[in-house]
Amino acid sequence: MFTSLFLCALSLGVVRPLDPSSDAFVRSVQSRIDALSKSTGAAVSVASLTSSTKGRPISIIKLGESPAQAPPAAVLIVAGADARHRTGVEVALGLCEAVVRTNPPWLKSRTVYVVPCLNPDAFAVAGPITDSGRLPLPDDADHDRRIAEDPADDLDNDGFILSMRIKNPAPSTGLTATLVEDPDEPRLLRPADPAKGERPVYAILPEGSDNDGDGKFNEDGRGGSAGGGLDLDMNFPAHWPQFKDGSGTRPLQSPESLALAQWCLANHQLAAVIVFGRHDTLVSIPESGKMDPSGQFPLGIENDDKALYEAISTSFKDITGISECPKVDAAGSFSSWAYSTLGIPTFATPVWVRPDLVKEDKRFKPPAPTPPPAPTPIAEIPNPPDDAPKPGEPKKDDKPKRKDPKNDDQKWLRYFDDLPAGSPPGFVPWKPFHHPQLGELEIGGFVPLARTNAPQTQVSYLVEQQAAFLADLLDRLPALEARAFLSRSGTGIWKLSARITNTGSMPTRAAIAAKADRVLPLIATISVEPASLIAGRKRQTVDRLAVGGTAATFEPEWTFRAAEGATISISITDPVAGNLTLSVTLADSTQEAAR
Amino acid sequence: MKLSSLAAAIISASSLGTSASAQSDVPSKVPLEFNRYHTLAEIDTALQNIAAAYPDICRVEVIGKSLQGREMRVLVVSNSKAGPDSAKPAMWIDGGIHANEIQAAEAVLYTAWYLTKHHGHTPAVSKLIDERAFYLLPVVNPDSRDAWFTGPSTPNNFRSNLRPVDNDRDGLTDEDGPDDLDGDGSITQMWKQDPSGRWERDKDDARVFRRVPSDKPPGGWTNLGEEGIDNDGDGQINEDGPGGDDMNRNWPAGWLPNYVQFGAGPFPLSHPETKAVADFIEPRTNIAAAQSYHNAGGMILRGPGAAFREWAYPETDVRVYDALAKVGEKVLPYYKSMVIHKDLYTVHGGFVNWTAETLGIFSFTNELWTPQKYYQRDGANLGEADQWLWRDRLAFGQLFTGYKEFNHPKHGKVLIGGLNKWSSRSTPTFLLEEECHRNFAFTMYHADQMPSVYFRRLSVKEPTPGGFEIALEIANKGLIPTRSEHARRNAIGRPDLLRVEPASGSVLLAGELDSWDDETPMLIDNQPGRCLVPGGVPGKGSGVLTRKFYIEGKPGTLAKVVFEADKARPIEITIELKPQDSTFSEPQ
Repeated sequence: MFTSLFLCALSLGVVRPLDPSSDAFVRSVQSRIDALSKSTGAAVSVASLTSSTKGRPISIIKLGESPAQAPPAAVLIVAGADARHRTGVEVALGLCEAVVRTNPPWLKSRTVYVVPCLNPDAFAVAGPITDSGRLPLPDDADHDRRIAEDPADDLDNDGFILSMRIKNPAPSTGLTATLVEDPDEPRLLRPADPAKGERPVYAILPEGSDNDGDGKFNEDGRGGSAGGGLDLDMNFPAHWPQFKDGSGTRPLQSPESLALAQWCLANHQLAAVIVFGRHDTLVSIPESGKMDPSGQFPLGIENDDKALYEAISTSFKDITGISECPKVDAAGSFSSWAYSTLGIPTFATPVWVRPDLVKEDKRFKPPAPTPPPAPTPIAEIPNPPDDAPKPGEPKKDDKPKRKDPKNDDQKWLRYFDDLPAGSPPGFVPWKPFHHPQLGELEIGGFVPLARTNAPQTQVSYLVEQQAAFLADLLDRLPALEARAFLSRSGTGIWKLSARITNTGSMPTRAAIAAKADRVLPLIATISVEPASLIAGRKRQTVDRLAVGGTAATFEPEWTFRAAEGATISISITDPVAGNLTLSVTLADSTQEAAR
Repeated sequence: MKLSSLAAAIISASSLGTSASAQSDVPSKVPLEFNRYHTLAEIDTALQNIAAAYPDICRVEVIGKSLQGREMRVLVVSNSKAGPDSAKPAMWIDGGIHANEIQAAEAVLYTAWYLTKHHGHTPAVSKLIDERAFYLLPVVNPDSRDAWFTGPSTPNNFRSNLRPVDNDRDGLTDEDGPDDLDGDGSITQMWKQDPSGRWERDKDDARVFRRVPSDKPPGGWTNLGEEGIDNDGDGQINEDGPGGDDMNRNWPAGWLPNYVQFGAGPFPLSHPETKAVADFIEPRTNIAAAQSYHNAGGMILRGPGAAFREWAYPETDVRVYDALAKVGEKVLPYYKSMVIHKDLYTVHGGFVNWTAETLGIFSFTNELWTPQKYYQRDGANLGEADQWLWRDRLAFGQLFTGYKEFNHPKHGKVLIGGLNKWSSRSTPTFLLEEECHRNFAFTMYHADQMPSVYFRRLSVKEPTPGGFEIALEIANKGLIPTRSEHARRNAIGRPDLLRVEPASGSVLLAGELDSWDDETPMLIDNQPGRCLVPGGVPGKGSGVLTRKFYIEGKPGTLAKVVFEADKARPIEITIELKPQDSTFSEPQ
């Protein structure tokens, strides 16, 4: 199944690249959303989720024709909570555009909502590029009664906040050397190992000055050690990391996070959530069965949801080939809240990881170059140059064999080194710089955002992967089948039961949902009035129907008094899996009705 | 040297005004009686009348609207001629977040009434209003207070607000609540004669039903629960009444969802009422104390609400709480100082947990009224006979609705009646004023212990010509520090700030002294003229703030020293650069 889905998805076509500059990026996102809202031919509509803190529109795109008879189960995709993750926004938008273009079969029976860019203000921040993706809010991040008075500074005016490495810092700087050059890769620093007799040589800081003259560097403001602002993925009320820089003064502090939460709470038909961002719950599924100190609030997932997560994880890994993702604390994240409080299976992914973390056969392969024109017959084959290797000799252009990278930084550096010529830089070599306060030092290091965003050339490929994953997930959503069984128990006394079965390959609700009780259970209601009921409540409920086995079936039963020939109905409602009605006419023979 | 404490500068004429004798009658421009309960409309009117009658010392601010659109009014009480309320340490006092706990709102209204009428008459009260600010919200849950007074209810309802909640998870909200079938304004009990019923009626007092022990024969009566019918025809009675959220579980301090904390609401501050209060309090960093009145049980409660949040109450803060509550236990007979999770029950997301744990405010919840006060004797457990004696002889039967027969659509002939909504939890009206006053008195003590700082010692030395060493000691008249230890540890709010500004020269170094005689100060940062004080000034009896500054300046010129704190009024002193030693007494 996966192969066919994947091949189907591969035909989605090429995604337009986004302008990399910040404000232009946000304008580009908006113009693509506007274009989607004007598209015809497929079931797509665009609505306002809310306005951002600074008044920018935040849209929610609906994909699907939503016919009345279709199960309501829907999937929500959220991207762009953190401006460090442009790839998520690009893939979310690309996915919508591809769906509009290709009109996949699921549009007729399923609904997908997409919030492609939750935090436009963060993406639109002007100035040098930093490793910060937060909503910019005035903040005294270092608690000195001054607001953002000492951010990082682009001292060398290259457009990036890089790093400063200071060799043997003088005591007057207040800095302490703790690092040495990595002997395997001198461009990198690592902690000195006293056991090996190493003497620390370097201190490292984000690029910048001590703007407020307090002896500290970049301690309050964007790009600094305490960046301030609001990290939307630390601001949801699930394990809210209160008092941590970026977590906010209260959960759901900003209109962005509040509107998303309120939308989710109001839409009971959500069967699953996909998040494109910093977190991963797909490749490494969250730990199951561990609770917070209250003993009831899961830190990861419920034990009974493990099988579901494992099944979806297997599918995701088959489709994307991703075998490992960076570990990011999920406290206060949207994905953590959506699972533990909303009670919805939530699948978070960074979408793109360093290629060595992707299985070889699933790695992005650039399109084969156009074959060169057939050679013109040449009258004379030239002699090889004098320096050409003789048979058996090593080629002279062979580079010396490189050591395998050992740690994450080394692997990133190797990745950037191996990018084709002309690619945007991922690492800037150290260059000497005379710092007005620290004296001679070097500026360089990893380029901000380069390690969280895919090269532009890969976005189309990533869209195809996520389209395939989405199609697979939609194929698994729960659906109901029901049958009724009638028998006469005596004169004017009847026994009616229903067998209601989940035919999907996901449960009607996650185990956490039964606990969270936000969404109504499956309810089976008989049309007989309570006064005529002998056994069985008029309304009978079940929290969830699992996948396969007896747990996938619910069998409510009623015994009641009624006249022969009367028509009795059983109304079955489920906000996620849909509604059914069974009708039986009371007659002597055993009857069966199915829907 | 000129000591120009701003505190000294703003002593108003009113605080020096006529001193009333302790028991003299001080009339209010807004006559109110506290031997009866006030409806929401009466409280609202009284609050506005007080603001209109005492415009120099109070004003009304509408902070938001309830779910049903009722305006929520905070009375700001502070002498504006002695400085804006925002520049003074302030106390938040509220009531009625649980609307059935009706005397809580009365205690807040009493506070407004008593404070305003005594200003200018009673020096201790005048001083409070001059030097402190009070933010009073009598009813946090106005919709439900109105419902309690105007509709049928019980001593326990309406606790929640009236946001419709689908309590029975049938897709409908609030569709089958109790019904006042006998029309007495209360929801009482339904009883049915039943040969196998496990209740019996007292032979001597037919008002009393008793459960029959399981090893005894049936008693002939079955309890059918609160009076009501099956409004939605689902075969059940009273399974989904009005509301369901508990606004005192909706605050962002250890908030947990409904499946852990019943009534939590969909997310922290999800209700218009709680959000309005939070939006008012959060930016007012001058709030240093909070009291949120509830009923019942005679408790002076502090957090944490859960054992695993003990970290938010470090030992130094607990000592302050204990010292305050100790006075509370004295002025409030039969009240006990308690910790919510240890002595009551676990609460996640409570209001005072939010003010204390998220905002660093020393906060209490008093649970007003205790049955021990029925007979003003020790021993909480009143026997059944004592309770009926109270109801019959002191309440003159007003707490009980006699049983009436009712033809119930489902159960047939039933009896309806029993203890009515006034029968428990609420303070009897003839004791209400005392209940309000004693709680008010404790809360004013709490307010009086908010930080009030002053320069206590000063020393200037000139070890080298033009090189001065200034040592300063700042003390606090209040038990409450300018920064709680919890606030310091978690960087809540802004640290205090001590600035030294010499008219000539500059501040070279600043140091922290362990004691006045410490000769080896610990240098504190790179901005010696602008010292941040994250730990603030300790409360009275817990230490002082001592700093030393090394100044290069022209002898005889002046240096200004200013201390600023979010939760204390600023103080400043102008010092002449010449050798000197001074000690200042605690200002009155």
